[in-house]
Amino acid sequence: MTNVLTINQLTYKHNLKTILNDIDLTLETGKIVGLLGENGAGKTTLMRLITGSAKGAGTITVCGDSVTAHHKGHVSFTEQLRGFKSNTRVDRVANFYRLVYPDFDGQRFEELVTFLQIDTSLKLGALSKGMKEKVVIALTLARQTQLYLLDEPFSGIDSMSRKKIISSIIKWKPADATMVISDHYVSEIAPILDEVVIVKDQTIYAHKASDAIREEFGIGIEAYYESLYEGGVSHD
Amino acid sequence: MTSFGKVFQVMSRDRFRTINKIILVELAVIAGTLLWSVATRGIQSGEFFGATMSWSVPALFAAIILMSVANEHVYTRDTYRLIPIGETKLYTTNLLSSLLMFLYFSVIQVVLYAITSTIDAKFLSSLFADLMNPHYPLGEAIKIVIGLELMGLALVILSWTTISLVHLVVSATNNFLPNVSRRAVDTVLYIVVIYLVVRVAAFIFHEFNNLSGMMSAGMQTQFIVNIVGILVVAAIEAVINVVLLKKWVETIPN
Repeated sequence: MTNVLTINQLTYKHNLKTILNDIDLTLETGKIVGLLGENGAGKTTLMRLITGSAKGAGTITVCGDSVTAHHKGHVSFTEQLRGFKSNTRVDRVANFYRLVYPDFDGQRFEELVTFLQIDTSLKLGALSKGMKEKVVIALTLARQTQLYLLDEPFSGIDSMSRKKIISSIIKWKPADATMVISDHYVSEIAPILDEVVIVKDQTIYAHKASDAIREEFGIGIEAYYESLYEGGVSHD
Repeated sequence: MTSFGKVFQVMSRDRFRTINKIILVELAVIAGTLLWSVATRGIQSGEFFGATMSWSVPALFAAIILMSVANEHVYTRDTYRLIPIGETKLYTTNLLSSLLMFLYFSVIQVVLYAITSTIDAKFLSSLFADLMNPHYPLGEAIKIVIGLELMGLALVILSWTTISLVHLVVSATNNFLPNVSRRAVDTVLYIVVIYLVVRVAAFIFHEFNNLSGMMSAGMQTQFIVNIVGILVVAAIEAVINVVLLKKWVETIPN
């Protein structure tokens, strides 16, 4: 297996406050990774550092390339479409993606639109929070990249749709791509995760394979995650 | 990586719509002014040209400001910053897209001036005859108009690079300051940065004027040197802006 992401000695400070300190992380290709941590732990910041949206000190290599500008071609991130006016229609946003991302698969986008029951004639401002999240997911997964970063992708989406999306996420992920999902709904995403990365105390507190957690501690991912905060499992 | 042409296309689309809206509002206001005149006292000679000239000024400012807003929007939004393209290319495409849309706006203004001056030709020729030396060569007048156009365009470019410089310096500096009294700190920062930028730009202009003086050139050469001076300052600011984008300027988080 080759590595899709390698992070060395990554530190990020903002407003004189250290958010992430001396982080090392390596992710292999073809995995679904849960990025877990409490609010404000630095999960979103870590994703933003990988995309180059935030600027930290250290080395980030994506698909063997350490040039930040080149990462953008390898990473598909769930950005919240802030660059569009609220009166922009969803199909126009899709056209924007089609033009600027050479890896955008229009056919796949149409399939995702059908699957997620998105009305592309609606304007962004008219979408509910959940529906907007669905649009963001469809746009992100329609790109054919090596690394997908889904930052709390299911917030606002009703539980039925959430379960439906989670259960079919493997279908939308290219086999050799890695998908990192940060989420609060640990129990719902746990069954599809190959690995978990837990951000705590400004660093990567734990990085373990899901099977290893079950075998080593005899508990599920959610219980393991919660125990780290309660001090029930000692961190190695 | 995404091609320059495609990024240019997506950036220009919204700006094209914005410029069209400005032109439509401008035309509506000119028409409204003329209709008002018809209803109240009848159209006077020179009024078509006068109304167009008067309303083209606020339209011009609206175009400059709205293109500037579009420029700055790109630097802090993931929608644009995540496009697989280098920061230099992103910055250049952004600026060029606004510039091209501004040129489109200018062409429409020239067309409007041409139409209304044709309607008011008699009035304008008698006005110019009164104001100017009848022996003043037409060639010189055209040179002056072209020179002023070029100077105006250079100033628009400089104003955009300067606004970006102030915005990006403040945005980058914000990352390193404590998260208290943000508004007050930002206000002080804006004042300091604007002061510094104006001082540095004034210094460079002064040096350029000295240069043209040393060349003991005529008016025409001095005018060209001034335009080049403005573009040099804009180019320096643009280079600093790209460095700021590469090293420090972050997007607004999700």
